[in-house]
Formats: sequence, structure tokens, C-alpha cells
Amino acid sequence: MIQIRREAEDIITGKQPKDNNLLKNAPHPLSVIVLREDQWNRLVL
Amino acid sequence: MVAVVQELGESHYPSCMIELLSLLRSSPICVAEHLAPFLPSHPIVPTGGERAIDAVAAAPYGSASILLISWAYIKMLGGQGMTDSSKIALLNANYIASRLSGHYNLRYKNGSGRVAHEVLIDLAEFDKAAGLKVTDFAKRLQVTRLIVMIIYRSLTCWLSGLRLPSPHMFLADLNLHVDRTYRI
Repeated sequence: MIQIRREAEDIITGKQPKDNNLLKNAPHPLSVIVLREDQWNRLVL
Repeated sequence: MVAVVQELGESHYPSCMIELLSLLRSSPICVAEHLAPFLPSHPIVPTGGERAIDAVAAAPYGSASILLISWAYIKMLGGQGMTDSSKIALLNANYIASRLSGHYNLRYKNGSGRVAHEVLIDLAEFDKAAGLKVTDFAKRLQVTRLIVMIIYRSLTCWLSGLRLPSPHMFLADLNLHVDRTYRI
């Protein structure tokens, strides 16, 4: 919960975009994690 | 809950009804007259009022079998066990509340700043600031024990997350939930 709070802070401050971030993109299942590079459309921190 | 419902405008009644009935699936429920039209229907057995919401339980008249769970817990724990587990539940909830205070806005604390057996986290500030909804937090947490609860109020429309720590959650487990999420 505290970690998520920090991530939310990053989204509020603009460090992560509002529409492509760790919270909006969650959950992060294996099927997404193993995507090829050209298929990957999620934020890389 | 009744007090909260009465404060609301009519457009919020169906949402309140879901909240009320999902909490009380196993038992009969009484509502004030103005809420009666919104009592839930059922896809197979017609129940509910004229403006009924969708079913909140598979059993149209509630399921008394759910009460067996409570009964079994009480029988297995005994008088002393009930008292002990209640105390542990209160301790766990207050531990979570004290760990999270400073990070989140917590609602419904008593005069001494203590909570009962659950912790209500107000997530409305994140919706306002960055469009982050309760479901985004729930998805990120990826823990089934996070019960997401939405409380509507007339003006502010709070969106709140509710954590229900069970009596068997031990300190390490609690810390895991409070501190971090499972990183990808």
C-alpha cells in the first residue's frame, strides 16, 4: 500500500503519464511481461 | 449505513442498495419506504421493486447457508477464542491504520484515532489529482483480501478502499500488505 502511494505520487507529479502508468496498467500478468519488444506498449521506468 | 443513505440524492440509491445488500447477503434486510423500489431483482426468480437493481446474490431470498460459516467459527473458537480473535482483529486493523496514516487519508476513526475491525482508506484525492480510481489501486495491489468498497455521499462522492484484516493475519503478513506490492 505504501509503495502504491509512492507510485500514485509519481502519477500526480507527472513522472508517470496519467494514461500509461503502473496503476492504470495493472495487473501485470505474465502474458504481458513476456511480450516481444515490438508488441510492448507499457511504460518502462 | 441507514443514516448515510438518507443523506443522499435519489440517483445514488441503487449504488447504496448494492452496498447494503452485498454486506447482508445472508440475512433479511429492512429499508425505508423510499428505498423499496430499488431492492434487487433476480434473473430467474422475480423479486425487488419497480426500479430494481441487478441481483446481488445468486440466491434471490438470501442464503441462510452462509450463516453456517459464522456458526462453525463460533463453535470452533468457543467463548474465549471468540474474545481472543476479536482482540487480535482489532489489533491488526489498528496496526494497519497506524502504518498507513501519513500515507493515506483514513476515515471513520474514533475520538482516540482508533479504528474497529476494518480500515477505510479515502482514495478520492487521487481521483481528483490524477484520475486514479479505486479499481486501479485494487488491481495494483493484486491481493484478493482488498475489498473495494465505494461509498457515495451527496456532495463529495468519496471513493474509498476498505481493508478487512482477518484475525489470522500475522505481523509479517501485515507488513507485506502494508509495505509493498509484488513488483513485476
